[in-house]
Amino acid sequence: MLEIILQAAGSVFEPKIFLSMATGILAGLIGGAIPGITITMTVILVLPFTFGMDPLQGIATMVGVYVGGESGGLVSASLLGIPGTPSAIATTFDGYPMAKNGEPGRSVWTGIWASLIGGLLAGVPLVIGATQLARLALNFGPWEYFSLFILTLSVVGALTEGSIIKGLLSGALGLLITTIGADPIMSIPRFTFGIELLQTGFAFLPILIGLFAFSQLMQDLETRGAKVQLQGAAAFNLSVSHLKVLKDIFSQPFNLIWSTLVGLWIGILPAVGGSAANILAYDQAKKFSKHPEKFGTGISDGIIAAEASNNANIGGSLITMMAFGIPGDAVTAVMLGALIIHGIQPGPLFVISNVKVAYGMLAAYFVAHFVTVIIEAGCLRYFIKVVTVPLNTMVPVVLVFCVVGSYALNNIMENVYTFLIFGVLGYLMIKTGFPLAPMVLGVILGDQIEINLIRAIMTDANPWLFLTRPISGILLVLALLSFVLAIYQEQRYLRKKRSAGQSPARADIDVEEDF
Amino acid sequence: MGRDGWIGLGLLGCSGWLYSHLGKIPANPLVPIGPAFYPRFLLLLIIILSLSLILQSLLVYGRGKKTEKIAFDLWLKNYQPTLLSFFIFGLYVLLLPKLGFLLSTTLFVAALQWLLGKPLWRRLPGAALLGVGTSLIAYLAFELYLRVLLPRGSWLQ
Repeated sequence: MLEIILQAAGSVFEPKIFLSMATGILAGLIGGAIPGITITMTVILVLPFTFGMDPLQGIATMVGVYVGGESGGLVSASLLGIPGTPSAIATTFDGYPMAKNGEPGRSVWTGIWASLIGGLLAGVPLVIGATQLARLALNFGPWEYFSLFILTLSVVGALTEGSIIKGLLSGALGLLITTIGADPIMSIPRFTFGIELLQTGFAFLPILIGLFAFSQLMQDLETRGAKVQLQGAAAFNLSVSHLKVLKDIFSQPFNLIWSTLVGLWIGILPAVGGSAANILAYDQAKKFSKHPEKFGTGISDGIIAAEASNNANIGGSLITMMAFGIPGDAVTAVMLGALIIHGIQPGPLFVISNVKVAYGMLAAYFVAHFVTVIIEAGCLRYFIKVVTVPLNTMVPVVLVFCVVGSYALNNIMENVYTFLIFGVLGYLMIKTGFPLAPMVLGVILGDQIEINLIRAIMTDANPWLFLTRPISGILLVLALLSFVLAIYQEQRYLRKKRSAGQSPARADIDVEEDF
Repeated sequence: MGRDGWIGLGLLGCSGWLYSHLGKIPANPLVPIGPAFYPRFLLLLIIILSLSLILQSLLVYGRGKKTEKIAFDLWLKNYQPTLLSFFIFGLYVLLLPKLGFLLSTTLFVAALQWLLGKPLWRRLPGAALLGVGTSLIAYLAFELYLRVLLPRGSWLQ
């Protein structure tokens, strides 16, 4: 077994795989550095290029984009005060003040080294956790899978910002979308209404591209304006004593490890993502700090917390994806789609029966972290120039690649129409305060939930088995608890707002004014 | 009733309409619960959640929540780039199978780049260059390197 694992890990160093991964890292660094281009969007743009690759090459490329993107976000966050990606928001809190205080090199490199260390630390539980959890999941029957997916959906529906009802509605609508077309058991058509586009149902990836890329671009146009061009890309002196930076990082072992654990945990939670991880880790670092008043003035503690956590978040997201076939965030959702395109069914069997791809992917995760640092050392100053691309140039180009990516999936225009339909839907959902994450998860898990539900009932018609089988029962109780807890937290939040003399629906009013 | 209430009402109507179509899905003797069971369960869930959304909206609205109206010209100014992008992108998707990838993409990128920025005549050559460059790069990468057959254009054949 060890030999197979080492062989799989070694394959990452095959020239074609390594080069693809390095190109992915470069794309991720550039995409991550440009405000408005998220890592998900970069993965979506790179995805069609991986269709013709072998599975490991394609997955290694996307892991490269993911790791590179997380680091790219910190560059513009630290030097320009604009987070390149949502997962670098907290990096701006101390990174930008530090750069303004005359230490741009220290600001960026503290982030880069913290990202590397956080990512590598999270890699250990990734290797152990993904394989062990996958082995555990192999004992799951359809009852357990059904309950696990219900728990995932309920956690996501309840954890998303805003109204719980909207979160749950979004998830339920995502599940309903998967019922359009042929049913997964006997291929009987449902809700097709004689429309050709609906006959085979909507393809998953164009939905994802529409929901994440199109709606995000339209929102950026609205909030930032098309003519805005970022200033401040003037030459920065990025020279720094790396030894000093590393000493500084290792002098805060608790901050480093705790932030990594926060990122890892947030990553494991489905569809929460790095944006929550870095803010939560920053907040925790401030709470535990002996000098919380210095946070926000340009101290390294804040940068370390934010960057270690967002790279650790990748490890957490990959654990859930590899062990259960459940995406930890939007990027792993796209990666799941890519695995399916390459004929690999995500889930516990992925690790067991696709050893080369699974362990190669884990190896790519580690190697990508080191390659990212090397590329950043050589090209950092050029990334700053890239972020000045104005939106009116970026939007049409990105939209074209989204269209080609959707089309190239099966070489049919129906996928482009799907992309457009869900792009508009995603934008309207954002404008009306409906979270996108539960819908995406619903679309991903819809078929699996139905298949496992039917399998369970066909095996034994007794519905109580969902509750009486220990693991399934525990998962369903946890789903109920997460739902109850979310209601309790929402009510507490509303009560606090009311007692503060603020209208409880203030946030809702703001959204309505915009509509 | 606030906007959320109207959305809930819309969802309620749609799910009710879809529910009425469930009877038309043929049953399958091999699968005891049939292909309509799962969508029926989901539609019932959506109906309950839609009703909750309507109720929540009515309660919030009843507490004196007011929606501030904004002037149409201000609204239009805020949304102009987005609406423009929606329109031009919709047109691009419609024309893509008719004009083919190269021509429609060149026109789309050039038009959107030009219109989203300051629409000055002197910017037009730059926008056209970006359009040609984007379509050529995408064509070379996908058609020639990745062997993806991009739309040829039914009007040009």
